[in-house]
Amino acid sequence: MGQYGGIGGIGGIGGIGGIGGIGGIGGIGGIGGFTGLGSFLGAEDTGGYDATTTYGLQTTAEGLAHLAPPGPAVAGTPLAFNTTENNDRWATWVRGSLYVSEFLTRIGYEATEAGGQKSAKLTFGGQTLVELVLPGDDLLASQCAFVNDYADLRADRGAEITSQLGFPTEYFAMILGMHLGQHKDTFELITATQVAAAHAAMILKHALAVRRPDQIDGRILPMIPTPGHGSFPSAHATEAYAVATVLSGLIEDWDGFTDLANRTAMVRGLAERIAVNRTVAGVHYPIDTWAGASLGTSLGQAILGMCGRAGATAEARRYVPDNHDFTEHDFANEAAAMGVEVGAAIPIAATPHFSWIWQRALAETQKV
Amino acid sequence: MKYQEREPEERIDRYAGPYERWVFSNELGRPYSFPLIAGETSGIYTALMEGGEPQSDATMAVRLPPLWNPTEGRMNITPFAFQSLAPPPNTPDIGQDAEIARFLGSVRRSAQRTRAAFNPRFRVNFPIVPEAWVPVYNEDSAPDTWTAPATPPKAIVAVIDDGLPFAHRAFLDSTGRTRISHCWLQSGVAEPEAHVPFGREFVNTGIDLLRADLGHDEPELYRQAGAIAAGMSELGNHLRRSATHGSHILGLAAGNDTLFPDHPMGDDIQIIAVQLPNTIAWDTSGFGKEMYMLSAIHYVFERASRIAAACGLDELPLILNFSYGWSAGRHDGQSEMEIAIQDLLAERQAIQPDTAIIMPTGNNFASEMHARLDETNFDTDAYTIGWQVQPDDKTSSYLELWFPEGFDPDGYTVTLTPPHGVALDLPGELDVSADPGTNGGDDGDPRRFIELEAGGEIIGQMSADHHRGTRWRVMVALVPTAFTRGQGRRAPSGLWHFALSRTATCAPLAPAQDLLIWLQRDDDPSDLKSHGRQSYLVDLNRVATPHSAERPQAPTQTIPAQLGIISGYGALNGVASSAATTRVAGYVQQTGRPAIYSGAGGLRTETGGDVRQWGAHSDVIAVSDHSAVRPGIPSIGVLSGARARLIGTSCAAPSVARLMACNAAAGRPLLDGFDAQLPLPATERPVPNVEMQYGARTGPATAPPVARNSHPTPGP
Repeated sequence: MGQYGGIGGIGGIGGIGGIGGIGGIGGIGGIGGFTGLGSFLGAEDTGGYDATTTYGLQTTAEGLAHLAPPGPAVAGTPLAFNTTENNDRWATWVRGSLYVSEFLTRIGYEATEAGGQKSAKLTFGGQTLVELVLPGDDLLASQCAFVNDYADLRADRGAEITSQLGFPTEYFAMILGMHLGQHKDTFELITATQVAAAHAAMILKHALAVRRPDQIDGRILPMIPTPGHGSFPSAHATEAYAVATVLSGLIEDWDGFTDLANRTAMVRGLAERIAVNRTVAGVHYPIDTWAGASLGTSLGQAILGMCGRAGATAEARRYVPDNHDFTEHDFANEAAAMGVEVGAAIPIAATPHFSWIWQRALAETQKV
Repeated sequence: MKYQEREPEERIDRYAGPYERWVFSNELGRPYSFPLIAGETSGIYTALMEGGEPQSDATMAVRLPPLWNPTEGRMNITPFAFQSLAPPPNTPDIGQDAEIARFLGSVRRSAQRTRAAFNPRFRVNFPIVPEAWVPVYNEDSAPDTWTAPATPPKAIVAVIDDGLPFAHRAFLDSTGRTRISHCWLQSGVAEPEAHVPFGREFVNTGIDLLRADLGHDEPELYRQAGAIAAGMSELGNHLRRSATHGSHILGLAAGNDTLFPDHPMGDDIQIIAVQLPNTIAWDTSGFGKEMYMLSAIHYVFERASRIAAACGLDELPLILNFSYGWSAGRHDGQSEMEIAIQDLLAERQAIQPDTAIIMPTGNNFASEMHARLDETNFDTDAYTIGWQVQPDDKTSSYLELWFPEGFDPDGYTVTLTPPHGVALDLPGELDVSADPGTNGGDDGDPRRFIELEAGGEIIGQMSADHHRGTRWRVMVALVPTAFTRGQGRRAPSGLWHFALSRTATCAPLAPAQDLLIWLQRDDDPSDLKSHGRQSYLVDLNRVATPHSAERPQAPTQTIPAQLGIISGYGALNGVASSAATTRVAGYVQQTGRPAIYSGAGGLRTETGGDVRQWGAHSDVIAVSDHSAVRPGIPSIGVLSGARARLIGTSCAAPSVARLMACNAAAGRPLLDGFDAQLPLPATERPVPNVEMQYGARTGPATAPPVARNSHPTPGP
């Protein structure tokens, strides 16, 4: 196994010679689905061969050398210069770096304190995309009641919770009838979205530094480890809503499903469920989901803009947390009354690499 | 803390019984009760009244639920709720039990003014949560938003259960309208006005509107409908679960799904549903539920009359499934609930013969929770049985001993001894007779109480009471075996000895007389986090040899030739003994044998060794498991499209209800298409004692399978 082998990724277990041929087992994100670089980590990385093969290759080279006489090599032709035309020559993890670079060069953050209110802003292209206001300690204490109430559902949701510790890409894939043989590029678009969303969430989590529910209320006793980052916003909610936003756009443009409305509703319902499962597990307050859903939706829209999707703009959002439970219904219909202000639409310029993967993903429609 | 003697007007046991004394008294079991009793009182109580009509007075407002009483005759048992109008008592030491006792005394006195000969008694039940108390109750009417179904109904199927997914698509008719005509969520969040005294009522039009508005997001639908409320212990997040007991039962009894392809419910079968508070399944005492249950049955009957009247029809066939129960009780049809059920069934069957209440036989056949003693079991004048109380039980445990009807146990003593190594401060010895100290001072039932104390702390209560003036009962209540709920006391776990003794001058039991023992259910099947653990009985005299007489005669035989003292026969649902109730047992489809847990009616061994039935028995048996490796049967879950399996006689009963409702709608006899008794397996010896045991488990009729089994049943 190569040094990254076990982590796997889009391309397979790690791509060492014959073993790499198993392809697909490495998974879409389940195995490689750690927040951070997600399944980009090591995907299609060649690693090194095992010691026997390495030694065998050396003796083979010596053994075959007599067949090709000595002399200078003949010059070849250059690859195209600085163009996405070469993207499919690169290993997946390399493209992962390109997406991350494109995204990170456009975002920034600002932590502000005004009038006794602390907040953190995520900027995109210099403009404020999302602003999250820091919840007060009393609000966090009040929110613990919701977390305790949701604990009742742990037996019901246990399988979902433990299989959604990383990026829960499989769950989205099964709603859209996707598999690796036909949707390699759509999976890559999802991963790029998740990684971008995760980075943005981590930045705001760092700035806002909100304690997890189990630090406030010992009775919560989560069923999974509390992650090593702040509670607010929920990265799972951010990622899930970003993916739901991007996929909603993609499947519309696919023009490939006869039951598009159902699938779109299910994709959004899944985003809600993934996010709420974290509250069931005991690691997030409902307000974390409100913040994450707001952030994820705006980010998803920004990513669609980077993809060059026609007419895509990103709505700015500002969330002032208040003591509410989270549901998709409220987020879709009552968000203004529950603390989410939707601001101006920000135009987003297309970027080369996101546009490249978007075009590839568009070509993966099934045309049902 | 010692038990403080109450003034006569503050003795809850004067008006009610030993369970009420235990559950509502601070020094006794109250701290371990359901949160709404253990915590701050809502001041809104529920009860059954036997004899007389409850009436409001200056201190309290009485509400009667919708009652079905077509002749407006006097009812033997009346369910009612009452709200305290007085400010909370000034004396902080007055307990909830004393407050309730004062109210009951007041109700009794007003009833006695109108009907002097009566001395009403009560069963006090769980309080109502304030959010469910309807501000304006429009009595004697029903929502005018209800609309008559387009297809004239030919039968009504009703379900009383928990966690009901009333907006599920399984209940839509062929035009997309719901067949759920009326649905009462007894602990639903109240609206400003309602035609039910507490909770929330939905009628068909309202459900259709909800579905039109929010049918695409059912969890949101239930939330907006006040059917999900995390903060209310009676309601909670139950409908966020993938499946509930009630979703399974309602689906089997009344839903259409590809799971039930052979017995579709037509548009001419309307549905009435009542959702009980979660309290019902949480509590392990067998107490506290009756008012909700009886109100639910009355509501079903009352709304069924309205449906028929609105459609210009006579009373319609009505099949009511009630997959609930408890394990202890009289088992003779003479408990308050059983009398009320019998009265209702008899009265409606006289008008519409196709009226049935279907109940499961229970799941305690193999749980060692029942014992039968007769004179032959006494060693001269004593008998001792073991009661194994399990560690880490966070709820109270209960044992009941019932003397024969009309039997005077004067001279009998029961003695409870804790497990080895633990001593009670005073011996747990109780004379089974009236205590002149309480009985002489008031007008309550003859009764006697002692508290069990260890290290100065009360860990239990023993009582004897002449239940409803007809049968003596001994009841033991123990606090949890785990330190819990912030209490510094617990009962020791292990093998308790429950000894019966009598003076030499006592008359022996007649040959036909039995002493019957039941334990209450003490587990948590619906995962409501009560953290109960089931206790069981132990036959201390049983010889533990590998060749005991109770062993089957051959390895393939499971039915012994003789009955033990501790037996599943008689471990029948404690509220299912009304003569007119239809009791349903469960069998395994693949083997054609009764499920190992399926409750059965009582059997006794006669002097000559013959086995004879006593009491109520199974009337019909239905599939409760597909096979040993696929236990349970499938039905719908909460959300449209969800599925679940449920194990137990709870799911056998609604199969029967469904078949009966389909038969009634088609004008066929209710048991049309049912088979005769399950045949005795060829491996069992066809001798009378064995056949009698088998018949007690199966009942005389067998329902065809309702829920689809993907593995066909092997031929005979």
